Amino acid sequence: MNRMDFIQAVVRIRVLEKRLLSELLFNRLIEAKDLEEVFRILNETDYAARLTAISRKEDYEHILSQELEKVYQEAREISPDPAVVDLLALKYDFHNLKVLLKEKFLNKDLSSLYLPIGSIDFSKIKKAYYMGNLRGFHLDYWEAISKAQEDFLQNKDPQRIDMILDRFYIEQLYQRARKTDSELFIDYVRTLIDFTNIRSLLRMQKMEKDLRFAEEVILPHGNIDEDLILNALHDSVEQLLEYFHNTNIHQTIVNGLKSYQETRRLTDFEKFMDDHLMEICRRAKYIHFGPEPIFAYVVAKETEIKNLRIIMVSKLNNISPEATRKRVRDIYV
Amino acid sequence: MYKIAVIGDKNSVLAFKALGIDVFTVTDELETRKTVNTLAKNGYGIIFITEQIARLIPDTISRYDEKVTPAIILIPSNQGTLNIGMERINKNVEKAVGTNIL
Repeated sequence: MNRMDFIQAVVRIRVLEKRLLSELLFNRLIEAKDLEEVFRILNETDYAARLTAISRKEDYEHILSQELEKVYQEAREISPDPAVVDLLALKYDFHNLKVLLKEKFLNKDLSSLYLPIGSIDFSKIKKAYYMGNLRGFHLDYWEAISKAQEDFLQNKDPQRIDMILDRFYIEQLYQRARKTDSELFIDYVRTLIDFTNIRSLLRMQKMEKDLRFAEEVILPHGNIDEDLILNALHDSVEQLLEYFHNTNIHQTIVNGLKSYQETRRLTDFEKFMDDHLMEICRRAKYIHFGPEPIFAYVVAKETEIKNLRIIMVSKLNNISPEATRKRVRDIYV
Repeated sequence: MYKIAVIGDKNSVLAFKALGIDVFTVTDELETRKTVNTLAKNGYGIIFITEQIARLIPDTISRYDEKVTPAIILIPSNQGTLNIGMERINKNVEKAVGTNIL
């Protein structure tokens, strides 16, 4: 990937970045008294055109998913190398793969669950898949899907489908990030793996899973060694913290764990994860030649949409502004 | 076999899907009335409905009080209870036993 190829793209992204919702605006949204007021405030932004397209305020999901779709379209158009956007779109591909398998085993039409964002067109692949034709698939996907399929027929455990596909997803993600040779991308992916692993660990502790189960869930390639996490399966959070204290593990993970220790809520830990990933993306602000700003912009947009969703759902369910504020993620700008 | 359904706003009832119960999300009065009526016709034995939504259609609910199926059970939504459900149970107990033993 030649960094100089991205000059034009970065300029365009910088313009788009100006249109991201500001912190000030988010504060107003959080303080809004109901969903209608949220819509009124959004009318001052780029979302105005989308607001007119829906008739009921409960249809807010449409606005958000359309916006997400548009972001990916735009980013693909801007990026001279599709690999950059594919890094982030990969999760949608794997989501679609899961839907595909679910459709097959349940024998139901779940077309509405497919997301039109991934790097491949699933309506085409679906047909080929049903006819037993494997050519439509990327080779890596084929391996993933056939393995998940075999396993399900043998074990009849739908959770294992997710586990197998998630493992392939992370493997793919890591390989692709390495191929780009961008430090930021690799760091992003490895941090993502770390947080995911710790989150899985906390979850498994709650569910009292055994080591054999854990071995299939904990993912490779993180900054924290796999074995270290596996060994901690039966340790308390206090012991975990003490253990991490002696290694050079990032402070945010420690802080996230501490907040989990207090509240015992994984949602709090997840906010730490998103905020830290955003922190990594912010480095792209100082990169002017290279693919990073495109990547960061898409992440920023995804976060913006996630925040809007949090705020709208909060308003629909009469959750107080203070409680909402705790859940809203840090933004890029 | 009778089926079980739950009716309410999306965020309150979606989790019932994990239990294998059929979930129906509604937003306004007309939609709720229609959903309750179609479910009653389609062999549902128990219909759980959130108090917030049930409040919109008291006449429809009381109509089904006189029938054996479906049993319409009021549940609190994620915004807390309005006490309508408990009141109904108390009233039914009173009707059956003659005095409120709860």
